[in-house]
Amino acid sequence: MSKLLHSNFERLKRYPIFWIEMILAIGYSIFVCMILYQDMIRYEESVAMESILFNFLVLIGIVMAVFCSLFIGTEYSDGTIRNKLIIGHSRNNIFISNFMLCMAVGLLIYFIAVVTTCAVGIPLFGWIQIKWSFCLLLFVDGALLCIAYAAIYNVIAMLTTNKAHTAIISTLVAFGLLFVTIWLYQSLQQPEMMQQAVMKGGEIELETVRNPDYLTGLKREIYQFILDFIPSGQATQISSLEVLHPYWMGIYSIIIIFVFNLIGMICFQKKDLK
Amino acid sequence: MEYVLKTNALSKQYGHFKALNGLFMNVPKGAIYGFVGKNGAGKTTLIRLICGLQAPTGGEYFLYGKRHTQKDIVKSRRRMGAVVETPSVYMDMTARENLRQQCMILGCPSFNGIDELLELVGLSHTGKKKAKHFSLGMRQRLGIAIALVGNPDFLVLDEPVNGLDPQGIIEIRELILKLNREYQITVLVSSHILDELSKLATHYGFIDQGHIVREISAKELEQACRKCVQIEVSSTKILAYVLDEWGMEYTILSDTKAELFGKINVTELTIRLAKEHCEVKSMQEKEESLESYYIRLIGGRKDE
Repeated sequence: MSKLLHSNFERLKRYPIFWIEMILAIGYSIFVCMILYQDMIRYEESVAMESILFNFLVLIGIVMAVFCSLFIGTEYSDGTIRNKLIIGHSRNNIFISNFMLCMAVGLLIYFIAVVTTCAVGIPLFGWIQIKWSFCLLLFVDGALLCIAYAAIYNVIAMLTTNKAHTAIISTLVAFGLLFVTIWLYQSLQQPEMMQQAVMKGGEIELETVRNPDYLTGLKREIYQFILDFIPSGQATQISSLEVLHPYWMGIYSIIIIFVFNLIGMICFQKKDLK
Repeated sequence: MEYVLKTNALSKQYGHFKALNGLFMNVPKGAIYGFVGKNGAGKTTLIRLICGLQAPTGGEYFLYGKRHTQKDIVKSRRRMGAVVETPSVYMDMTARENLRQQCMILGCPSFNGIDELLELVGLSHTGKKKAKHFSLGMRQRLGIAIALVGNPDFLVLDEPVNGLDPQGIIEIRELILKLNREYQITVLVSSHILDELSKLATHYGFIDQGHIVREISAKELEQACRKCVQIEVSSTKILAYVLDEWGMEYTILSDTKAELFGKINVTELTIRLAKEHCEVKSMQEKEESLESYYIRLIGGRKDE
């Protein structure tokens, strides 16, 4: 395994997509800080540092989908996965070493984004105001969801033997998760009560009524569970600091990591390679 | 005799299609084993199985005496290199970088030997040129160089001259011969180009419809294919008596047919046989090439 990891990281050093994504993470973090600082000056509003600290998490799914699909997909398009199997490396070791590389890249990009945001944001907006323990918990949740993404995209890449198909499927999954998150989030954000205009005695009056779109009961619980479970849902909640179940989110990520890796290894073990 | 590779009733089925059907094969150590068959006969499927890319659905194979299901077959796999179908090279890396990658995957203690490998396959001049800019022949040679990292003593080449120009074919052939003669590497070469194999192979395995039709050494093949006169007579007993008198080499095929080797005086033979009341019905010269031998072998199977 160490030999496979060594060769993977050596290859990573020369991989342009990795460096582009690192620059993107740094650039995006700086850009967000600059835009908010401009708004702060123009509209005389205050910006809480913690509100932008985990901003990049919303994009991490797409960034990792692109990286994992192209990096691991190259092993199939160039046929180099055969070199590893021919000399006797086990399929499980090959699978896990690729997962570990994707995990390392995801964590690195996430870490770089957070550090850049702190480096640029703290001088502009001041220190983080929320409890450090809660901040650390969110940071760990963010790291776990990056690893969960790595598990998902590694499985897709290892089981799809065509690089182009891998890229398409991974991107569709990334955007699919994002759209589902947006829909769930908007559904859950509906207010319980709303103002409605009614006619009373020939005059229009505003009445406070129950919002029919407000989710209650089991439906609300299911929606919230899905939002807590899927990595994109976790990313949205963490970046907006609207986290209801931080400990459960971490556990869900661990479950995703375990299940996807297990299924992936079993399927890859049986796969006929050309 | 020591065998590098042995297969026992090896089978591989894809759905209802049997790509390999009870294949028995023996690759002797030190040989250049020419694996001959038409398209779709099962050559590449066999190579995929022995390289560990796919699992057999039946039977077994042994690499250096280790069964394919044994855990320590890893040690046997360390001793082999392969180029399966297309060369496995990172297109965005140079030749040197590709070999360094392979060194790391193998866990080689250093990168010493890369220069010699590049020299051996004729790629020492490529510098910073990436593999995606190589010609097919260069990629093929790089694939072989990658397979040679770690000093294997068993090399598996799947149709290594496919798509190469005549110069490229000659270069690959000379490389294979050099590897076998100077480095004592056992080579398994699959091909459907008989002429090319006839210049290389010390042993042949003819495959058709998923199993080996015949295994034969180059010497035995030479014997089988040498020039002779095929004669049909009324009695091969009398013919044998006459030929024994003359000390001529022959093979009796049946009660009426035989093959005669060496220079024959047709007139004298016919007169001598007539004296013994033996009729000569027909005579024809025969010389078999590898191609005609193969056609006869596979064609004969179709009639069975």
